[in-house]
Amino acid sequence: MLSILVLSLLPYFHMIKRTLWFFVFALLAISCLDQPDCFSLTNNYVGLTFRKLSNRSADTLGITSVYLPEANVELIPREGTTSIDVPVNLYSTSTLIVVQAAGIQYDITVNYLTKTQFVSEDCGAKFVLSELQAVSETFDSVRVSSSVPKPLNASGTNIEIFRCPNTSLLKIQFASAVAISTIEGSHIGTIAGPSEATTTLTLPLNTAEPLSTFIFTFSDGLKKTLSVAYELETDELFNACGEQVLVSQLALTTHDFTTATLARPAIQDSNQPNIEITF
Amino acid sequence: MKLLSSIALICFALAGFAQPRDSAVLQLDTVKNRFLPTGIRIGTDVIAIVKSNIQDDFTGWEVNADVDFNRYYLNFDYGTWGRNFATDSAAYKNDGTYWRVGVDVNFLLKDIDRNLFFIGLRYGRASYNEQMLIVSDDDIWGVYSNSYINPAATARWLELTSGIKVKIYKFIWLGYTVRFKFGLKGKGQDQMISHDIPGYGRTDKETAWGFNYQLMFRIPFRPLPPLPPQKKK
Repeated sequence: MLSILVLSLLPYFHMIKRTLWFFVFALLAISCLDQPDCFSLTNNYVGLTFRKLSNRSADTLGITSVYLPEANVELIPREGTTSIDVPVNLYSTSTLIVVQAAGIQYDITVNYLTKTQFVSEDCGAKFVLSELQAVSETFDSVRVSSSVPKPLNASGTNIEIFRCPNTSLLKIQFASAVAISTIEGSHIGTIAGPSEATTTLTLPLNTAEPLSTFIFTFSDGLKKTLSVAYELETDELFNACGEQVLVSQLALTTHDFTTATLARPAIQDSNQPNIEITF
Repeated sequence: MKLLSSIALICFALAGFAQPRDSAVLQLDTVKNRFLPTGIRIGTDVIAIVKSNIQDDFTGWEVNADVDFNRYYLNFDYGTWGRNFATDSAAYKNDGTYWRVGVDVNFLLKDIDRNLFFIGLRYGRASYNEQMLIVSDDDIWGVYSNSYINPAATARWLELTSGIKVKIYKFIWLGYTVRFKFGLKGKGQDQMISHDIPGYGRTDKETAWGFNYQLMFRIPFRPLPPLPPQKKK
């Protein structure tokens, strides 16, 4: 019976062979129809990187918080960070970012284009942000290095924020950690000391006069005085910074610490101390 | 995965229709008017019809036609395409038409049935509308809902094609076409970025792959010209 069937199909062998080929191809084709993946979702994170204008090296800026007023959300970055990723409003085309750094508030408003796109039944829709711009800011200098924001946890910088060099900040190094309650000066009034015992201290010099005197009150009530003299001049180091008061020829005039030595007479934007003190 | 599968398809096709090496040397066809068409093949994409019937998210059909000019085949495709996706957070729908035009080059020059293994190029255009409704819930920016519509979007693209067409019985032909789609340009995508374009497919990658499985019928105009003579050993 089977042999009769085979013999009867022989004239159509060529046609059957070709038809079978097509079934094979059809099965292969169906295997190609993969389902979409949930990749590259919403890119609403703007990477801010802080740099020194003088040499474009990374700068901590002393950021303590980043606040998003529209969402009433405050982000606390890790201490000493030189960059932070900020989630901008994916439902809008503009976001105000408020940065608190070293007791100073900086604002930056970023504009961008937002479009939506359906991704898949598993992933839903995503927002695609592009054409990022920094339209207003109170930082010293800002540059948009990449106009396409990034997804969460992606690396990269969108906006570089440059800081003008500090030309009038005195850096003091103590031989051992000291707990300072207050610091008093004619040009700064009385300010609170660091919250914890420290070995380094940065203080603004009086740029109106070539002499600054500081009175330190320590946690045990002891008071010590330090006076420094210097020369003042005005110059424009960078266009973005305008004219700055430059301090040079720093010299110790009076003090009542055990020892106080002048380490660096020039005010430089670095972590190197100008004066080293033994308490 | 798709690329490997497509290469495998082409390899299978070549293996199935390979000719002996000694017959690979071509001789000029001396028949006059050999570039005059001998017939038109008209058909439809079986995959589109099957998908329309078994998938809830797709409706569409496609018709295909080709005319031979010796080893060159002028191709024209026309189709409709609609997608409809609904999830908890988004609903997307599009609907439109598309056409493609291009030329295939046949590499089976001595097949008695004039079967084809071809490589070709297509230019495609689509006109469509699409709409989307989203409900988004972001940890920081909260809940947001909105609807978007692109009422008159258009797109154009290019395709590299390859495949086979085989005479099954008398005037009945079966064929498949693998399409590598690239160079997509769009207009009218003002409110939202297109997710899916009729005739092209998903737009979230630079390129796309397509596959058609065609049932075709050939209507002859005139007798086929004779095959070039076999090389004598």
